[in-house]
Parts: sequence; C-alpha cells; structure tokens
Amino acid sequence: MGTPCATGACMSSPVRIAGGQGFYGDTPRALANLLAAEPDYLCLEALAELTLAILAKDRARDETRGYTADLPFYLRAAIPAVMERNMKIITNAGGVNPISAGRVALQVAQAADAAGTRIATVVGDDILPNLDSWSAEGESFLHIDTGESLRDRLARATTELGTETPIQPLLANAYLGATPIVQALSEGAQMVLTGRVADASLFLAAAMNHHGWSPTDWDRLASGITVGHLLECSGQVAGGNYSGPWWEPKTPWELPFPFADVDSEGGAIFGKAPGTGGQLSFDTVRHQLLYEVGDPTRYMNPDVISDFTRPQFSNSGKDQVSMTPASGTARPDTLKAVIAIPTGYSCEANVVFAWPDAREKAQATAAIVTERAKMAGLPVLEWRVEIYGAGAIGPAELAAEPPEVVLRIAWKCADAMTAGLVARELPALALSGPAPGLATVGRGISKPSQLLEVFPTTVDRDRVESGVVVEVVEA
Amino acid sequence: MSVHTCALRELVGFRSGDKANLVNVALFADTPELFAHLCSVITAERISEHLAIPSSSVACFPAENVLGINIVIQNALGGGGPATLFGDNLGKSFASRILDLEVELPADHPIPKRPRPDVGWATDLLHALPQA
Repeated sequence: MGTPCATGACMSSPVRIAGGQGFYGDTPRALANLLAAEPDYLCLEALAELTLAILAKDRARDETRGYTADLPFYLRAAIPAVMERNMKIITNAGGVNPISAGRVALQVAQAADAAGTRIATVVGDDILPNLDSWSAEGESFLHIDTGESLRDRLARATTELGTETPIQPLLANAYLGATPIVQALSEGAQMVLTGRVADASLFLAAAMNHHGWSPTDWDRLASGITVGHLLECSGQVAGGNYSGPWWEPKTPWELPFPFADVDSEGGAIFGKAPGTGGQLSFDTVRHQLLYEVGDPTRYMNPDVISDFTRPQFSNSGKDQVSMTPASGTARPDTLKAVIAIPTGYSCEANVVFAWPDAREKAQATAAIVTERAKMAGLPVLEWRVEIYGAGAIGPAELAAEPPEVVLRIAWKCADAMTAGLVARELPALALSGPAPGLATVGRGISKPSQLLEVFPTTVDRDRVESGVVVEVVEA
Repeated sequence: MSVHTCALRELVGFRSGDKANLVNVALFADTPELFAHLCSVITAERISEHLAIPSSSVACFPAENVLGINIVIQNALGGGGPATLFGDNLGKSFASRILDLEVELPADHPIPKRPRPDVGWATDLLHALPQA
C-alpha cells in the first residue's frame, strides 16, 4: 500500500486497477484472464440506473436478498487473489442490501479457508425513509433536467394513472462517493461491499487509498474519476460497442476486460491481459471517454467535477494507451439522488409479416389492435408502434419495400391486468385480421411489467453523509 | 471548386448512450482538420432540424483532446430507460438517426468511405451449426 506523501517528494508506485464487471448481468467469461494480469484492485460495477429496482423486488420476496445474484460467483473466483497477494475487491453489488452481501462475502471467505479476511460494508445511500422528513425541513427534490418538484411529479403520476391511493416513490438512493470506501480500505478491508456508490468512484477509491490522495486534491481525484469512467463499462473500452473495425480481430468472443496502471500524479496506462482478444487503442478509449456524458468539461460526481477534455491520450504500445493527468474542480455541495416513481405497466407484442406489402400489413394490424382495445373497454394511456425493418430505429427513408418486417406494438396501462388483457387482442388477428400472413404471434407477446420513471434530483450532502456507516468485520 | 457532401457515417466514429431521458451521441473525427471542420457544421440547429425536434433540446460540446463532438439531446427516450415504451430504451442505436446526415466537406477533402465489415468468421461459424 502506498504512503501518503505531504511533500510530493516521495512517490508511490503505480497501482493496477481492473474493471471486472460493467453491469448486473455482465459476462463472467473475461474474469479469469483479468485476474491473471494480477491487478491490485478488482472493481465490480453492478448498478445501472435502476438495477436497484430489480434488487428491491428480490428483497421484497426474501429479506436476505437484494444484492446481485452473481456476487457469490465473482467473490469465489477472486478470493484466491485476495488470499495469495492481498488483492482488494471493491463493488457496489451490495445493491439494496450491502449487509447481506457482506454475509455472503463472509461465507465465501470461510468456505475458502480465508480466515482473517477483512470484509467491509457501506450503507447510507438509501434515503427513501428520509424523504418526508427532509422535505419538511426544506429539501425540495427538484428534477435535475426539468426543475419539477418531486411532490408535483407524484401528484401528476397519481392523476395520470387515476389511482385512489397517491403514487409513492419505490426507491430513493443518493450517489455516495469514494470516501467511505477509502475509510474501509484504510481499516484493512480486503472486500468492500456497497450500495449506490457512483460507478467511477469505486475505481477512484482504489487510487486514493493506494497513493494517499487527499479528498480535496481535485486534479488527482479527477484523474481517478477519468480512469474509473473509462474502466466502469468493462469491455466497452477494449473493443466492445465499437464503431471502428469491430470485426477485427476475428475472435470477438474473447473480448477482454480492461485494467489501468495509475501513477501517483494521476497519469495512467490502460491495458488488457496478454493473449486475450479485443482491441485497445486511442480510438476505443475515446469512444468510452464520452459515453453517457453531458458537458465533458464538467463531469459531475460526488467526489469532484472532472474536465474530461484535459487529459491527453496516445497509443503507447500494442493494446496499450497512456493518459496524462486530468484536472478537476471542487466537488458539488449536493449529491445526486435517483428516485424511482411507478408510472404504470407496459406490455408488448412482436409479430412478423413477410413481403409483399409487409409494412402496410403491420400498420393495419397495429391500428386494429388499438381499436379492439377500445371496443373491449380497456383504457390505454400510451401506445408505441415500431416497425422493425422499415425504419423503427434507423433512418426511415432508406427502407424501400422490405422483405419482411417485425411489428412491435407496446402499450401502457395503469395496472398490470389491463395491460395483459390488451395483449389478448393480438392472437385473434392471425385468423381474423384482414392482413394475411401474421406470423410468430404465439411467441412474441410479453408479460406485463412495471414501468418506473427515473427522477434524478439533488440532496444536501451533509444530510446523507451523516448517515453513512462503514463497518469492517473479520472472517 | 465544387462543394461536395457525404453522409456522416462515412466520416466519423460514433457511440450513443442514455442518462435518464437524455441521449448522448459522440462523434469522432480522424484528423484535427476534419474535427475543426465538423465543429463548424455540426450544430444544435443542424441536428435538431434533422431530427425534427426543437433546437433548445440539443447541445453540442467539443472535446478537442479526442477530436470528438458530444451531442446531447434532451427528452429523447419517451421518459427514459425503465419508464419508456421505446424499443431502444437505452439509446444504444440512437446514433444511427444522426449518421445519415449529409454534411459538406472541405473543398479539397477526398470523398471518404469507411471500411465495411468483413464477418467471414461469423458466416463460417453459422454454416457449421447443427440445424434442422
């Protein structure tokens, strides 16, 4: 572990930080090669914007759940490296139940005879129980993009759905930063399990702990966030989701996951394990740099505001890219929070029509379904008709008469039962819809699923951070 | 000198993604000269006109260090990720709606053509599958 350095004269050696997971459901196939590259820290990013909603449903069925189901797999695969060379694992896969995730880690450690392994949990991101009292104390919870208040949005949702009981948020989580993870690591934790910590902060925490960076060293923190942003989507920096020559090399199923060697000044060298597929270059790195970014000169994060346009990137070897240090400014006074608001139930059907006149037959069928729902007295709040193969997503004017089309028709109703009943209007059209040749209807109808609106807002930092608890236990 | 044009798909690398109800589409030039040119022709007005949406919902941010232009489009996903009925609820394919935009090239710029995929390895594999 690096030594904090007040004078700047002493320099800690670079630290190797790996991105082993990009979301809940990512492939575990790349992990073994990544571990063979002997990272000092393995970061597992498991929480997309509303993954917590999925995990909350798990916890509602079984109160010992609420972490990602694949967490035990990752921990079992990685624990030998923890035992043999003190690799650290940092993950937000604790979801809505980091405490239970900590118990899982304990069991994995015990099963591996890893007595003495130190396991930390971080809680305090869940602010759902506080929404009412903090509102009463003056928090207005305004939508980040629209400025609408949470209270107004809930009232509008209640009116839209026509429900008798007012619509209530299902989840509310603040994005925590790197600080509680660094605290856990400084207390000797080898596995840190958190809930909603900002994706890039998992990686920043590793660099801060190793190099002893101060939590107000904005430029170095921005470097750590830039590194984290580049690693947090696993294969996307190493040739995944790539608009360049993505068909090279010819074994893309061997797509590797990335790591970075981060030096004490905040510079970094990105790489992938030797002998793996994929590609890592200036071009693949820049694709990820701007991914899901707004203003790249002000990338907001709980720890720092980073300027992604400052680091210089260059190819420094085969499948190796170097980055100069980034620059940043003081962290925001507020934390971002995401509140999930139930907005009804959706259901959808996908059916196929073939040439000739495939598009027209699809259009007619969609129109018939909407009329049949009306005749059945089923209130539908919103429809969506997409004709794949005829410009549903891509530029419409490029599609002449297509050889076949997929009609995707989706709808939203206030309740699940109505949404499911609308779907029953579809199969009859195979026999009695006038458009000939409706295919695949038996396979293409979904079950109703709940729609949840993401309501991004801000919340006072001190309110949240005063409730954050870091606990370290020993296996 | 004749003014010539080409579709963006021949000119730039790209990636799109979501943030709640926002979509971002990043475009990448191969040379500083092309980046400077694209900064002048890829504007919020141009993009909003192409997508037939209000220009106030589009913002363009240059990132010269990676020769990139980040296009941010508000209110683009029908409510965003888990709330929307859109098939591409995460905006992963959104870039394709911008890539057909025809833009002017500098007069001395050759007509570019990005390479087309060679997926012989995939068709070979598919032919070898056990099938009915």
